[in-house]
Amino acid sequence: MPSADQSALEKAREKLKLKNFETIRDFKSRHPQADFLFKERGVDLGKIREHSGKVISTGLLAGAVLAGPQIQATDIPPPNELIAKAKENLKIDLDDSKIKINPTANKATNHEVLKDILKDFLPQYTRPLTRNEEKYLEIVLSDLTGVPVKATLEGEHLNTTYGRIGAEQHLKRYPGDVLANHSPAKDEYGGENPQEILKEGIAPGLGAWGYFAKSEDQLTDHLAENEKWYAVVQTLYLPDWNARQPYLRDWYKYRKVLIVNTQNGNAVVASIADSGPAAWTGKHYGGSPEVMDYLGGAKYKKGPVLLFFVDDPENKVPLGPVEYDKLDLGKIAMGG
Amino acid sequence: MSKIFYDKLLKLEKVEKHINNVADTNEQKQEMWGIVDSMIHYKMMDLILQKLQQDLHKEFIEEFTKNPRDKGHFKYLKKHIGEDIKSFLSLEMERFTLVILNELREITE
Repeated sequence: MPSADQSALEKAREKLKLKNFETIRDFKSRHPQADFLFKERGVDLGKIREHSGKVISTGLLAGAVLAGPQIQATDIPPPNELIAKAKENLKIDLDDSKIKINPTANKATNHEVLKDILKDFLPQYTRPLTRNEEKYLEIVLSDLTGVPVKATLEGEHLNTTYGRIGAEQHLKRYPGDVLANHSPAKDEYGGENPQEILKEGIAPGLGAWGYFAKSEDQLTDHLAENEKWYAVVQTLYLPDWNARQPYLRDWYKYRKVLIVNTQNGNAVVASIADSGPAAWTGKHYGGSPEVMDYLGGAKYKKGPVLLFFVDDPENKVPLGPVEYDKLDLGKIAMGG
Repeated sequence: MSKIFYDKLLKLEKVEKHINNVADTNEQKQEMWGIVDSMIHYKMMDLILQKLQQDLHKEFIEEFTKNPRDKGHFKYLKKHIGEDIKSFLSLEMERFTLVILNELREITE
């Protein structure tokens, strides 16, 4: 005859099993497709922790195998040599009265120089860069764009400085903000075709730092610019994000970053205003509609970029496009 | 025990107390926890999928099964559901936990 304790255990087990059965039955009846999807993947949702454990150990092994060779410091010429070499390729045709740049060479501008350097320097696929690689790029980017940048600023460093960016929606700037309010004026960026800027829509939720202003009245031009040129970075994956609150939260709020499209050299100074995207999206950053439009045009949804902190203690660097593709006629005339 | 991305929303200390009252051996406790754990995961997924639009279920389940512990899942849910999904799930799971507790209290008290 079972003891009272054994009887209590048996009763508890029966009750829990019955409740479990009901919970699973309800799930399957409400979500038959989801139930099928889990079965298709060979995952028992009730034992998801075991599955999670297997995923971790498989991932650790795969990571060790997939990590490819990285550029060694001795393989890279100094940054100034890289820049000088790229600029040497410009061809100049002189006639009586003016200097012409050979259109077939087309490497006269800093923009073109940067594009060439990145094409030769960066690995084919995005990955976290080595410290040496970042140091070179800090010099190259600062020199050619005129924006002082750092991969590590005040001891802070993101999970990667070379990753893929994806398109984000507009963010609500104040309670009651709607998409129509984000339409650019005629003299603003995107004003010639506002629909291109509005087509991504507005996010149903708020950015990680909430509203930019408490009300429409309190939305200053500066705060509006922070939303217009906003970037999303993966603060959630920083190993010490939780441990160093609220310091990190404040540090990253509206932190300026330089984003460079490594395929075309377009660059924009953006303001960090949201956290994400999820790692499984295959992307490492996000850009506001204006950021994405400038980086790659109306159809640009994702692509490889460099993202470095802007070293701007006096807050002098404006948000928005970095127009550094102007011809340096002075240096050309001097034959430099 | 491997983590799942929503673990921080769960408060199961009282359930643990009741299980410890009826189960003597580690084996018995593990068995009971296994049943509770199963319920938790099905209930949590039920709540998430009720809120998430149908055409995103496949994408979410695919990514969830690839990496159940990824905190990025909350970003995805926040982006597509819009409301404060963490608070919603936390509250609903608290209610569900009370249901489990009531079942156990009838026996242990």
